[in-house]
Amino acid sequence: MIESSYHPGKTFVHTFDPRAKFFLLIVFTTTMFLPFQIEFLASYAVIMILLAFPAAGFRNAFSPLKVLIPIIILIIVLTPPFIKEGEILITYNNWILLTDTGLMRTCVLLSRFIGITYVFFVFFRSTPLNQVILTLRWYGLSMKAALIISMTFRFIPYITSTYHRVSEAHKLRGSFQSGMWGWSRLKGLVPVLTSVLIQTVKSIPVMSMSLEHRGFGRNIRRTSYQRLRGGRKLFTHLIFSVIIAIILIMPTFLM
Amino acid sequence: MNTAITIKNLQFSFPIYDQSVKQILFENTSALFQHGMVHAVYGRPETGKTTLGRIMAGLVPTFTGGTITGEVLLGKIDVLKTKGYDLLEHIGMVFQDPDEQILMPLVEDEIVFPLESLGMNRPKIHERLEEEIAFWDLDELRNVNPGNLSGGEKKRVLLAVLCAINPSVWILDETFEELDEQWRETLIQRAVASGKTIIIFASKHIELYDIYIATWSVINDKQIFQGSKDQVLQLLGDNWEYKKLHPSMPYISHSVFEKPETILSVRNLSYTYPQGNSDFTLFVDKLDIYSGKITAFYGPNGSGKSTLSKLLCGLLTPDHGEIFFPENGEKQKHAAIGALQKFTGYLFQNPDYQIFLPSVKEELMYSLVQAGVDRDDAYRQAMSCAELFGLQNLNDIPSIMSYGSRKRLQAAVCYLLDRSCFIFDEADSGILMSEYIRIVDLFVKREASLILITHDLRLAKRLADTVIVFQDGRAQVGFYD
Repeated sequence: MIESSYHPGKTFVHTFDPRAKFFLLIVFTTTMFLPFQIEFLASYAVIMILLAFPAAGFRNAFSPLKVLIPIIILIIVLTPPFIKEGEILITYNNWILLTDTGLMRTCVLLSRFIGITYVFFVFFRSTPLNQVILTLRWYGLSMKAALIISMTFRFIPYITSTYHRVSEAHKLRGSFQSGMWGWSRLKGLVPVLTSVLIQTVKSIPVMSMSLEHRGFGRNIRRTSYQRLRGGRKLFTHLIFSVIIAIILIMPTFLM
Repeated sequence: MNTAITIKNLQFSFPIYDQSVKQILFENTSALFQHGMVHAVYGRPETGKTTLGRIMAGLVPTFTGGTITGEVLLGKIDVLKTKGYDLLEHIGMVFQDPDEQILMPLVEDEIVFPLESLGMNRPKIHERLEEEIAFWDLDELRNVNPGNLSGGEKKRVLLAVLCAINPSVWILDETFEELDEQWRETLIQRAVASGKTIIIFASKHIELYDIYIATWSVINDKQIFQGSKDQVLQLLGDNWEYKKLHPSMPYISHSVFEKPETILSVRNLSYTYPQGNSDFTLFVDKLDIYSGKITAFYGPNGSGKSTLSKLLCGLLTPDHGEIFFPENGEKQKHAAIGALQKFTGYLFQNPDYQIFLPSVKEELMYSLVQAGVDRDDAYRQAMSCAELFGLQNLNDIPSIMSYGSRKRLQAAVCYLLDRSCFIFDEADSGILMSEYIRIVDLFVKREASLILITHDLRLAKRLADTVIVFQDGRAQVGFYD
């Protein structure tokens, strides 16, 4: 999902320096766990959803919600019945279904969940992968760790397509059918996942071979072709990010 | 004359695993490759071409294990005592399977990565990058994940990497296979013009580069034989196999003298991949598959052969048109996806997609037991099928068997399926032609209809009753001239 998520554009979200964006990503994610009132958390989540429009375009702005719907439903259904404190709002046959505290906690969880999902969505949608990796390196990630992340993104579609091809192969062998459900489906997945695992494991030594053949491991210092430009733009964006971070955290001091 | 690569008394064998037999690949063999020339090294599948290339590049036995003795010199560098990364500017190899070699998530990053390893400065990297992007026509693909490219495009990316590094020795391992004619010509011209030492590994003779070849070699019976073109092709046995095994196509169905029955029909079919290239749509006006007959699907990469095959076996649903099971020449029954999946067996190009069990016996018995066959009966059928397909040991572990053995196992697994039609997707790649033809023969003898997907027009014309030619998503009956 992350691999194919970059959506090119020229909006302010796209042109904002990725290092400053990453700083805000961390700050925002952290603030969502601070003990703010629900009004602030919900507002932050709404701001992130609004930022998704320039980042991903109108059509795709709600795409994370489509994926999250099952989890949102689970949160709504499973959180309130377990919180009995506060004023009772809904009961059924002496069962407390909803209290005001339960409602508040559910809203907090939903705001956090949606807010954090959207902040990552906005970041990855507006930042090309190579800039994401350069940003992590700028913040101190080692070259080897950055290479692992790059190769992971290279191999996600490879493993996905391998899974699809293996599934097709096993469908035609009769060991896995699309219409299967429950235990049969799980059982049918075993041959598929085993074949995928074998393929993946077999590719490890060859991948290592390719890395070495590309010069990884040489004693001389590696250069870097890609770079993130510094200068006034970076300075301005970082200052702006710090200001936003202070505004985000300010409600803590008002409580 | 300078020698680019010297091989002296090379002996190499792969490591021995449980229940496998020691496999000696090279036995006390020697060879010389002169600097600045184009060398052809032929060999039938599994004779060690790729391994030899990787030995020269300093990658074997480091990453494969095995025992190696002798000497491999790259100029004055002892390759067997040098790490692969230290040979980067001296020798470059394009792997046969591009998915094994591509590491980066973007085409541009793939080209830049080894240049960074060489410690090149930014302007120099930029110069080489732009030069090769332009030469190999990759400008529109520079920010694409190479994993999403076609086989030919991936090969071009790897060739761009090789040319950007510009080592003194180029090893091209079956590189011409997936390229279209235009790019093959471009590659050979570029290779010749470079003045580098070019070593081309191939299992089939390609006449395209005959005039450029300075030395001819063939890997045969654990030896590297270097001689004349005629001697090498004789040992390779390419044309010989066609002549000897195709006197009058005895494996063509006996139904050649009867009116063949149509078992599957396609009418006015069209299909566009929903998330792929929206410019590509497959159109098939009319196609009939006949009982006991062989149909070949022939065409370049991306022309629609595999797409139609997937439609015929129910892996895809057509956007328009119909696939149906006719009877007495009339439209009888629309072929639902489930029905098609049980009607058609498929031999994928990669045999590992369907292999997952720890022994040959279990693989062969699996589908039979799934279908409700009694275990003892399934065992007997598995035994007899193993013998038919030359699988010696039922306890062999499929994942560590040789590629050819895995192909035969895959064919045996399919053979045991109760299907009326089988699709062989480039099943001739990686195995001896004689072996491939024997497998085709076995399936024809059980009166199955066969669809052979192939790049090899000679093969299509020799084996098939009908050749369907694919061009830009359109399928037509006829011969490609």
